[in-house]
Amino acid sequence: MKAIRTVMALYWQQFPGWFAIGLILAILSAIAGVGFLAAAGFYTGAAATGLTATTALLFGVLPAGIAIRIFAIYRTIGRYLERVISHNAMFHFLTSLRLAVYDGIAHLKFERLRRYRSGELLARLTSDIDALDGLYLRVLMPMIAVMAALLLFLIVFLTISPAYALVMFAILGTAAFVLPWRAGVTGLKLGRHLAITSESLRLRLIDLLRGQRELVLTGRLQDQQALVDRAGSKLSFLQDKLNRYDLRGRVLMTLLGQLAIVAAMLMAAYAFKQDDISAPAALFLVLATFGLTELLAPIRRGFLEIGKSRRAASRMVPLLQNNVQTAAPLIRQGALGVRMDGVCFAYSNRAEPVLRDLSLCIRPGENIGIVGPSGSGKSTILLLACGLLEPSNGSVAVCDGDQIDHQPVHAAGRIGVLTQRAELFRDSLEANVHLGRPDTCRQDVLDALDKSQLSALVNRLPDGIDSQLGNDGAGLSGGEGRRLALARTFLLDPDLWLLDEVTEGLDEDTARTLIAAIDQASKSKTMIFATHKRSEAALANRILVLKPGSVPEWVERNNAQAWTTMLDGLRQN
Amino acid sequence: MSDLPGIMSNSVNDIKTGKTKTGDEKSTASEWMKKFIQPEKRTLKKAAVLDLFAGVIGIVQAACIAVGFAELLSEKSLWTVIIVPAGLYLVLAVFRSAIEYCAGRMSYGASKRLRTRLREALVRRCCQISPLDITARPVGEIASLGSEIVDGFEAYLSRYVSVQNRVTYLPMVILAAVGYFSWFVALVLLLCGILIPVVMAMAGMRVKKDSDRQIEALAWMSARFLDRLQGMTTLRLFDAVKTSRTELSHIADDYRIATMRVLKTIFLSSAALEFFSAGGIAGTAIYVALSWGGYLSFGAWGLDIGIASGLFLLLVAPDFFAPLKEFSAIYHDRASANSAAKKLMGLVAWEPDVAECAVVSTRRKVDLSQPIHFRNVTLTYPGKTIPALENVSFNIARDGLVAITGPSGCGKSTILACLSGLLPPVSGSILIGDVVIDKTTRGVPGDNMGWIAQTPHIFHGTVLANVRLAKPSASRDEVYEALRLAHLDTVVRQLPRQELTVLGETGFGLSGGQLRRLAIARAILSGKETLLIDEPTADLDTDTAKEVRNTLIELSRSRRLIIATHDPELVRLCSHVIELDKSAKPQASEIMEGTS
Repeated sequence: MKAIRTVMALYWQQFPGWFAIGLILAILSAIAGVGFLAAAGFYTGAAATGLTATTALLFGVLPAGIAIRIFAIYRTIGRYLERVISHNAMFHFLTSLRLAVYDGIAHLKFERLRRYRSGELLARLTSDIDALDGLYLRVLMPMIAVMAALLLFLIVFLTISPAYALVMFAILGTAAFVLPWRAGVTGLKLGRHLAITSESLRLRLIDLLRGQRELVLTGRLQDQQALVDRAGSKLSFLQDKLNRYDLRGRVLMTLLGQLAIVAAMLMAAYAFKQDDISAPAALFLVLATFGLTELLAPIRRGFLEIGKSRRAASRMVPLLQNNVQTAAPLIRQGALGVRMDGVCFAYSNRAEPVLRDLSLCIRPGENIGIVGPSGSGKSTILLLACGLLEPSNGSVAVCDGDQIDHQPVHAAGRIGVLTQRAELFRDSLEANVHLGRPDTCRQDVLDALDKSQLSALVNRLPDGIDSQLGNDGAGLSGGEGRRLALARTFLLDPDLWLLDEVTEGLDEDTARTLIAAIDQASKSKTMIFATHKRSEAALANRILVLKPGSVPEWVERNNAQAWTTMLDGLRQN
Repeated sequence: MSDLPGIMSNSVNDIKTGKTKTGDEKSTASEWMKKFIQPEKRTLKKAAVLDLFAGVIGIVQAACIAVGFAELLSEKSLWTVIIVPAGLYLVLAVFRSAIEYCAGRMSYGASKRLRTRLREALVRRCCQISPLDITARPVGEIASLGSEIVDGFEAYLSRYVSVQNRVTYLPMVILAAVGYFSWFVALVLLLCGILIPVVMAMAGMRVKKDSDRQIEALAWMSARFLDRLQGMTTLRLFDAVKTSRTELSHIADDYRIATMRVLKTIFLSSAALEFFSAGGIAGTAIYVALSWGGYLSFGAWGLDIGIASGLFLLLVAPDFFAPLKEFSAIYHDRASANSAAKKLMGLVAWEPDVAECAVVSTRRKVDLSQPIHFRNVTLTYPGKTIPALENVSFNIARDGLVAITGPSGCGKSTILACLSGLLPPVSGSILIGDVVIDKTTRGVPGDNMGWIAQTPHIFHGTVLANVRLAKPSASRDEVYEALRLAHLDTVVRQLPRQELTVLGETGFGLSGGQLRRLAIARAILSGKETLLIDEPTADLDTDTAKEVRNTLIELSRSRRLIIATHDPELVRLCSHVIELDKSAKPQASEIMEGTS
């Protein structure tokens, strides 16, 4: 419930004006709806008792007639305005919430980000947020409006006939509080199950579609399909249960409403016969009650869906809270160094630490290689240096020419990272390349593509750099994808280059030209690269050799013997 | 596309262009809906009849109240006379509720079955789209089609037939009942009621167009968000989060505007409806009041409007408009269902033969001990114009380690995709023993071929489940044996929950090389006779690469491995090498018999 309160509070904070106006309009149109029927009752009652024309004018026929018209017009226009205003405000709010959640995701720690599946995060941004509109539009607002109308008319009833007011309070109170409360309880319980199930349906669908190749070739396509179908049938089982509750609640609501009408009829007529009230008042009471029963029905429906909203809110709110943005401190332009002190890192509490007490100092402008068997922590060091990972112990900093330390995250856009998995966007080639520098001209993009040996590919494509990529870079080979990511880095022209096995998946010629281009581009900059290859390692000034289970060692170029021995241990191409 | 049979060519085309074909869109969508509803039509009709019956009971209830009230107001009445209509009213209320409950459950059941059927058909259809088709709809969009849009049919399916039935008959019945007492009131109601369908039709046309746009906007927004989320790390590193946020805020705004557009029209039309129904009710009330007061004495077939008949008129007047209101609400549901149908009909055609002819895993055995012949194979990725392979011919002899090598982008992976049957050639043919793969082939040539991708997909689940993909019955020991052969067992033992660690989408906690080895373990466990392997040694260090090479040699003793690689050491170990040349890419490649 806390999450729901947070969302409501946010809504209140962002759009207090619209909130208030929408609420007032809702209350007024609820009153107008009942008032319309009540006035009609009063009017006919007054006429039916055969008052003379003058007394009729004086005692209500005319005012009642005017009231009918006002209520009828208000009921129409006011309801329209209320709906447009409150929905408009709600959707504005949801849009800003969507972006706030996106910001929250953008500021998630890398470890947490990696733990999420993008399908899950997408659900946070789309269906979860869409599920929140009902909270205000179908629960809170109608509830308040109905409460207000109910209160007002019960007070009016009280002045006409206290006994009548009491009975109506009992019946309508049950309908207005007990049924929605029951619906809320059911809704919370079922809503949670429903949300979990539809989430798993979505994930399984995404697995089915993304892993289609693997599934087809292992003959498991049908099995995955069956998994999806099973999630689907569980979902429809739960939806069916919800529908049963819903229909049952609707029946109870109708019966209570009809009970109220019969009771109203009997009591009003009895009071009238006892001469306690006049005929107009009797008809007023009955028809007002009739109007109130009509108001109550939608609230219960809204409460039934509250579970979905709550679950959506409780999953989404945590993403909102880490939305603190600190201004990046000024870092001097030029090459950046890296300093690590006593860094320990493990991917989880129970896993063996990948790095133990690593300290190193890389000065701006150095060219550093990292070698070691896979799993020895090469990639981890690079990810720590760019701030994607945070050490479990110790500190990591980037430093500028003045040797002032900064947090790596504050140097975003100044550090160029090429990870092993190139992330490409479903966009044009150009858009993929100018990601970090959206203001650059087309020629620069083409140059960057040329440097990463992709111009031949671009020239081959009919749409050139306007060609669209498919999901996750579909349409390019693995090596082409990585080189496209490299072109992006060329265009960024970073002050610190972090390259993770940049030429893997490339043939020798391309690799050689590529390395030359990188060497050229990073001339006055700092470069740290992880590699297995002798030809690349040979370009470094010094090399960090990682060995699982022992302390990392530095090998300097001027220590000729150690240098050659180390290089000889690497892959020869 | 003309060479493909009937429906298939249509649907394939629709998927690719993301648009429906020219012609009468509206009628195709509603025809599709008709076919879709067909199996449950009878149940829905039955429920509709029950619902109509409940509506008629409502009229009788109104009569009960009117009579009871009139009795009360008259001087001479006795309580017994009052209790009867009141009691009857309550009994009818219970009866009516029970009928409505049954009708509701019946039509919901029908809707549930139909939606399940639709979901399953959609999933089947998505499986048939070639995974290599880059023009296929974005995954996020299809995922949303699978869950949300299918459920979007709910309101329409479970209520439309019923409400349509009610709106056709119930107002008539009420009009007749009202007309029995007063032709004037009947006329007032008729005049107000007749305008409602006009307003609705006008609004309906707009809503239809707008809700198409809304669904489109939602799908686009989902696809865009998913794409950006998948690349979040890159966006962060390139300091491009703000730029992407600006773009996304425009897209989210478009969705909001599209949604509001639909809602505004709906609200406006329901306001108009409210206006007319208020007019009808008020007109009735004024007429009844004036008749009671003696100011009017016409419109009731020359008789007086008594208390009972007057009250009855007052009570049924709102009932006259109720089905119209219901219909207008459901009419918009119908519009949005229609838009959804338009999207879906490209994917799901209700024809029995569709399932036969697309990418499905067959359980056919192909004798893979036979040589493989490529004959003038030309291959183009769907949606592309430039062929990835042109006129390529070569032979692969029986077994052992076969390498396909060449500069990056020359079509190595394409040949593997082609062999696996995922990408049929545009011209030419491939012979595996006596099995021919050519442009008419759909589906995987056999179930004894395994495949290791360059970037393997990691399923949401444990390491165990991921390795067991091809052989779910494998024991834990078998899994560890496969992991050991792939040199991954120690790594897995160090994971927080060992083999039960749940891997994220991109393989939480495992490096690129480790994921590759996971895929190798997966293939080893599968026990397939031929393995197609895409760049097995890329991303691996010297030692591991050597180990993997040794594993591959070991594996090649008992099966055929076809490896796309540019790792010279691996190529050197292969018994057969097919070398593709970048410059001579369109031309035939030479076969080079290596040493074994």
